[in-house]
Amino acid sequence: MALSKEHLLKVYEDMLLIRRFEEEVEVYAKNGTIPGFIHLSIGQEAAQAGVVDVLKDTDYKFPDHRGHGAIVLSSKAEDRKRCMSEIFAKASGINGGRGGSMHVHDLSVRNMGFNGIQGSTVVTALGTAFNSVYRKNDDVTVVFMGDGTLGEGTCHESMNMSATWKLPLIYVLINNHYAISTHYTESHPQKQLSTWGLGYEVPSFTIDGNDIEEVIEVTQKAVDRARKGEGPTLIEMMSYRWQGHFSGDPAAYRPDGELEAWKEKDPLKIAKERLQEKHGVTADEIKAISERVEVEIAKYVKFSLESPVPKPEDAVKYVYTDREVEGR
Amino acid sequence: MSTMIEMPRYGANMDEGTIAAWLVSEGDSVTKGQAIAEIAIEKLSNELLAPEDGIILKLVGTEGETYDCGTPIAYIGQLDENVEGSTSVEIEAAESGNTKSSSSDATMVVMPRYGANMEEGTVSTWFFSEGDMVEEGDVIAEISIEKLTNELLSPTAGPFYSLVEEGSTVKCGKTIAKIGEGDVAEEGEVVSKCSPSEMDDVITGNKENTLVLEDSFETIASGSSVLTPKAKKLADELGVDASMLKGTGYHDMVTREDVKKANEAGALNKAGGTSTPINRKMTAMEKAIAAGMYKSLQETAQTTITMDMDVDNLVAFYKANKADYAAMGVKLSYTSVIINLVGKALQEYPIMRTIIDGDMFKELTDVNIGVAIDIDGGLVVPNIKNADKKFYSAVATELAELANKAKNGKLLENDLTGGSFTITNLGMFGIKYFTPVLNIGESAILGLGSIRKELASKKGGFYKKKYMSFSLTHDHRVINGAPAARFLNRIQELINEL
Amino acid sequence: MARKISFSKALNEAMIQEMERDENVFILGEDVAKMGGDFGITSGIWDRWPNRAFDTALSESAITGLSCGASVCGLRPVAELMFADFITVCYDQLVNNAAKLNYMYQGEASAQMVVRAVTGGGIRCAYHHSQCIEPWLMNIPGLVIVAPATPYEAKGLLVASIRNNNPVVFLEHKHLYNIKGEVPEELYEIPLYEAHVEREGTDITIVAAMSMLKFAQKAADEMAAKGISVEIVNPRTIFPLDKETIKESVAKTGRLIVVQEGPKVMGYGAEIGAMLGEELFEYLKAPIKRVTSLDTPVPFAPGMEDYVLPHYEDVITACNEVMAY
Repeated sequence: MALSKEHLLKVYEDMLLIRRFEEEVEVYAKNGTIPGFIHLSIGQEAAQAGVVDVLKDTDYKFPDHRGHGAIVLSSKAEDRKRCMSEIFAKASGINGGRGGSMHVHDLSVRNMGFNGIQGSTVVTALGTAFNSVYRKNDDVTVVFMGDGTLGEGTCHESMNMSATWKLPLIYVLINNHYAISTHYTESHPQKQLSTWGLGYEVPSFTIDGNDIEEVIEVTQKAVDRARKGEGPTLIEMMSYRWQGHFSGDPAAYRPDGELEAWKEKDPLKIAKERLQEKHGVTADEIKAISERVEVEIAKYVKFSLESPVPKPEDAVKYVYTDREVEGR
Repeated sequence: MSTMIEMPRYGANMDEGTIAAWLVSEGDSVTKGQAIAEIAIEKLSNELLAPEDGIILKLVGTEGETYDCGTPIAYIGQLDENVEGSTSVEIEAAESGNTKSSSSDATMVVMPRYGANMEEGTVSTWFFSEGDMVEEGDVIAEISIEKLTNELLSPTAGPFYSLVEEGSTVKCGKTIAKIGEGDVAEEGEVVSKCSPSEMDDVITGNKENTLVLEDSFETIASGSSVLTPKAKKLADELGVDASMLKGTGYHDMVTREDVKKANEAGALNKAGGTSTPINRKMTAMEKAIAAGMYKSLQETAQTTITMDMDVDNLVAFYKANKADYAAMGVKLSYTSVIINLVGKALQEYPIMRTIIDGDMFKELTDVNIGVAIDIDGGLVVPNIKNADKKFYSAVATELAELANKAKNGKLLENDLTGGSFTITNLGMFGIKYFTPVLNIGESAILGLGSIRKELASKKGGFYKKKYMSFSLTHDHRVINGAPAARFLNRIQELINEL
Repeated sequence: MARKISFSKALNEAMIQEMERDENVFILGEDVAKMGGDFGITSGIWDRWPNRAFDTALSESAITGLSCGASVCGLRPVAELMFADFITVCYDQLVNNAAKLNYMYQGEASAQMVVRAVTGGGIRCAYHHSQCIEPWLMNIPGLVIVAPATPYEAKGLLVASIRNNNPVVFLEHKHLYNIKGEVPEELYEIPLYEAHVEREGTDITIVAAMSMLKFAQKAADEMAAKGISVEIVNPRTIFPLDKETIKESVAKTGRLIVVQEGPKVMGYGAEIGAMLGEELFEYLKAPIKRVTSLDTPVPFAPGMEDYVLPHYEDVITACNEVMAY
């Protein structure tokens, strides 16, 4: 399904925004401003931007640990800077600094956050999907997972239950080829991981996860099915992470030339060429988008740097809903 | 049967003891565990406790006399008993818990004893008039003892006659009324209407009569305070009389902390004998402040210069940004902004953070700006590390945290050491100029005065301008007047650039 | 006098009455719907509400994970795990998900769910169906562990647990299912986080939960005959513990015995003992004693199992020891 010029321009800008967002995050992670470790999804923008593009604010989204892109794009425009300041461990962060890179959530747009354990959100997502059935509404749930996630037993429990109960759940499996250092073909027997869904009689697809038009087209089909009560869908989106597993991982386990080959399939490059060749978008128009994104990202960075750190003693808040935990 | 009470043996080495005082009189009703005498043995004093509930039938031992251990000194029993072998007992039988006059049917009502420490009580109200018929158990009077009020019940049925007026204070055991028509002997013998279990309740303050029985707690001599086992040990070690202490622990028990405080208070009372603060001992902090101030003035060549700064721009900056920072959860203040500016100036003027060390000049490389904070009981100067490298928000947040820590006594050693310059603010008291004293180990301190409006002439007209006076004390051994003045001028420039 | 019903019936009634009151409440688990539960605790619910009672595959992670997700949407799942021992196969969902949701969502949403689990030994079912699992969950801030000891508590605590917005692991001891007691017909809540003083005394405090409460009661009677007054504290909520009630009691008596069915290491007895050592040391008159199982798995052969589980006589021995100290 070819997108309209306006639609493609919009998602191109989305992808550029999350690319630039993560590049900045990487700078501040490497210079030590951002504590802890982060997982970057540079190279996987189309899968995240495309899926979020299809969803409504009331659909439930479970991003994964490599999910900055889905998180930022799910957020309201005015809250995106708070996604970044969360990663900077600041009080203004969308979780007040208590979650960080792996746990950025925003319930106002039903970004349910990630929980840090592979395969965990795969079963949690059953609950939000179940809720739509229980309350008889058409909100769908999307859970992002990776090729590595599929090694977890919860994936079986989840798909077995969602298929049996026809829950409105879409499994977005971004296959970036590596679970840390292990290539998916070394840990799974299937050539394509989408065949996993067939045993549960769940419609399953493998698509080019770097082609945003394809991502949007297939995701739209899956979402339509789910809204109509026809049950879950599995979409394996082939992609590649340009960075190592975490920021700082040199990724020495990859064969020479593999990264370069995938950079040729850069989702931004594909979209840009299509804009210029098919829709006649000029270099000036592309430049204008870049400038807009730069202004926006600079705002996020300034906000993140300038925001104060959280009060340490707030660490004892919200352990329970109805009782205090002793502080120091 | 009556029970003989002997001079007790409190330890293997005790042979004899002296009755220092009888705490009860013959005819008094006592409960098990109640102190009836104070027994002195050499330097110690112990309480002799009643072995059972009953009436003191006879006190054989005399106050002040010494008896061998095992010698009978008193008899306790029920009312219808005579002391075996005694010829002097006058007490006669009556209904249980009451005594009737030997010469008539009237039942005497005596001032009850509601606890071991009660000696007398006041009849605050009589509820019946002379000759009124009362039933057994009727409330006939309200008895008040210090802050407590108790009801006195009639021991029997019959016509009521009061023998004392309302408001009279009467010793426990003395007759205050009679029920019945007969005469009442003048020495009204005795009787508490309190049953033994009620007595327990009164003693322990327990209403339910289920929980706290007297013998479950280890009672300290001569009082009703209950000590925790460890508090008792400490009290013994320190020689603190904890008997009258108010406990702050669970169930009002006296804790180690209570004993320690009592011990300290006792020591203070002994040392000073007065509670006026003028004669009190200096605290460790006060001593340190006094020594530091003296040393500072003795060992440096302090001089102070002042400058009226034009702070229109500072006020404008503060007002324009206050809300933005508040949205980030930061409380911006004039002091915090000035710390940022001074940090910048200090970065440029290393001389202001140079000290003399032996025969060397030594630059303190980090711009760590101390802030004098007034706290209960003294003054502390925690510092903001590397203030020249921090955002306004970071300095403001840190300043608030340090002030909070200072107030709660939570400052860490690291907060208080490593300073290279100090800022002190008396502006909030309306002070314009002052001569701050150098913090030891630093060569300059900046005093901030109040912000005030003054008329200034400009281009032939008059305008209101805001001024703030800065008082800079510097060590003239290191910093001469001109560099100090340049430093102040640089701060003015930085304000103008805000 | 209120009517007497069994512990099982009290639990069943609590769920039915809460489902009548709040349509967000639903039940799920293995065999909980058509069959009414392996222990019959959910019987009658599916008949009445076929769309609010769900039989699942043998998928404990999916059951608890679904409960977490549904909770965040405002539903109130009551999941049954059957034997508490099975908690290991959904441990991640309880520990890393349910217990963290309120913290992660900063109070905007939480895992307002109940996980019912059948706990304890003594039914000759060996080590995979007899364990006391509360210590596995006791250092997970965010979780609540509730442990009723009587039919009255079973109903009142389950109602409170369903209404509570935190994830509650609700432990039901097998030996208690058939005991009967007075239970009001109307809905009532017994507050969580509050221990109950079952009996007042002045010489020894015994803390005992669930089926261990009867040991404590019998021991208190036996000691009373000897003139020793025992106070019994039933924690009701095992985690977070009601420290104050325990401290008040032990401050009074100065002596503590904890009776706990599971192994000695790191049970609630260990926590209570350590807590009192830290916070109430100066009130103690004797060492703290624990009466527990041996530190072994629970064996099958009756003689072996009885050997391992705590003995009533151990409670009396402990009482005598603390009094003699």
